[in-house]
Amino acid sequence: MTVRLPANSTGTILDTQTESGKDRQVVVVREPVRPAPTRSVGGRIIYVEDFRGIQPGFWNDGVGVAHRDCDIMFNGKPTMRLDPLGNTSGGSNPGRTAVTTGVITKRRIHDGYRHKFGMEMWFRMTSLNLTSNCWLSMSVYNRDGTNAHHARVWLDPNGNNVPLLGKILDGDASNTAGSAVWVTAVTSVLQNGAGTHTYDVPSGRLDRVGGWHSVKLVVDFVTKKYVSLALDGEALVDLSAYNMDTTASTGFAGMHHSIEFAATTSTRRFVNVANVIGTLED
Amino acid sequence: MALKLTVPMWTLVGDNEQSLGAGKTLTASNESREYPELGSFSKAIFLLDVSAASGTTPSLTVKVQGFNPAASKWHDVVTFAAQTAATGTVIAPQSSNLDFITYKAVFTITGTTPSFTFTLVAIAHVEEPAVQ
Repeated sequence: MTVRLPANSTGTILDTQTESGKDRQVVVVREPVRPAPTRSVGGRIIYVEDFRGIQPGFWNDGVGVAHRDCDIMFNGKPTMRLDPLGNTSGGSNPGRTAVTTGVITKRRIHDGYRHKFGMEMWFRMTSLNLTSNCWLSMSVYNRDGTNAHHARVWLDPNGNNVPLLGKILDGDASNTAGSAVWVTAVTSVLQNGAGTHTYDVPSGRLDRVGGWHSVKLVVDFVTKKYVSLALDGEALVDLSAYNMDTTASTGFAGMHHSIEFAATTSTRRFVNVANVIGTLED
Repeated sequence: MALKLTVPMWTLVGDNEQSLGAGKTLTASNESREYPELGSFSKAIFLLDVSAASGTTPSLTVKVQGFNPAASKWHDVVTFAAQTAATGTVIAPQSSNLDFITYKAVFTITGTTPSFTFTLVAIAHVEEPAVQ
């Protein structure tokens, strides 16, 4: 068998040729094309949840609902809608751990603090009433039977039609303060977080396309530190200076890849997420 | 091959399904949370079972309703015959096409100091491949 690769920019061609008795030649080119819509590079994909299956592979632990949504499509496939159903939560931010009086939709994967993992997704601020009194966040966390170690990013619209902020939960500062301390790690420059192009049937707003943001968080469970954060088209932000947040927890020991959405008022609101991807980064 | 989904429908607004008991005890009328997850399916059979009833002339009527998002109104989809005791007999199932997107259950209880313990489950299905 002969393998011929496409010419490079200078027209150079790499050829292989089978020699008699030496038929185990290997040419390693690069990773195969990633099979899911993504803006990120790197990382070996360990799952893709694109919601084409009728029953999502994510489970909601909160009092709201997370369900397959065929009203709001992305890339020709359904999405997942997160709706607190009017249930309310306290506080002024997503907190150190997920709020069970909202939506907590997750996939659990067992890994005993051995690797670096990434989690990414596309998301859309779909309905009205998403620019205040509610929080969308994405978390990768694990428990060891004694403690929980959380890496969280708060996807904060920061107001009406203003740049979206990616805030991370600062582990050291949160432990010192005894409450959640968030650090703005990245701003989606010149791109609005939420406020317009909404899909909200009762008010006659029927923009099914909306505007989609993308986010990817990478964490290291060996060192219990953040690694990086990517938001929309912004440059990858190095987060190696930040530790995960440690809280006492004897809950189920396992790693969670989670998306949370909670609100402080009962006004109906919902967001959509698409193409949730988990990656192994080492 | 039909894909089927079993959905317990006795979760009330504010209940967390992580700690849902094996049935619901109600002493007054109430409603379930909304169930948009049924909207991906084409048909369902609804099964009601009453395991305990007490009070003076207690009555439990269970309805399943579908939501019209443009008018913000709920329409009756199926209605079970009123239950007055836990007889141990099987209550006639109700079935319906799932033409709405979102559903909920309405539990109407009357009588003097009434109490009902019951389950309401939807087994939904669709005749299409699970993955297209």
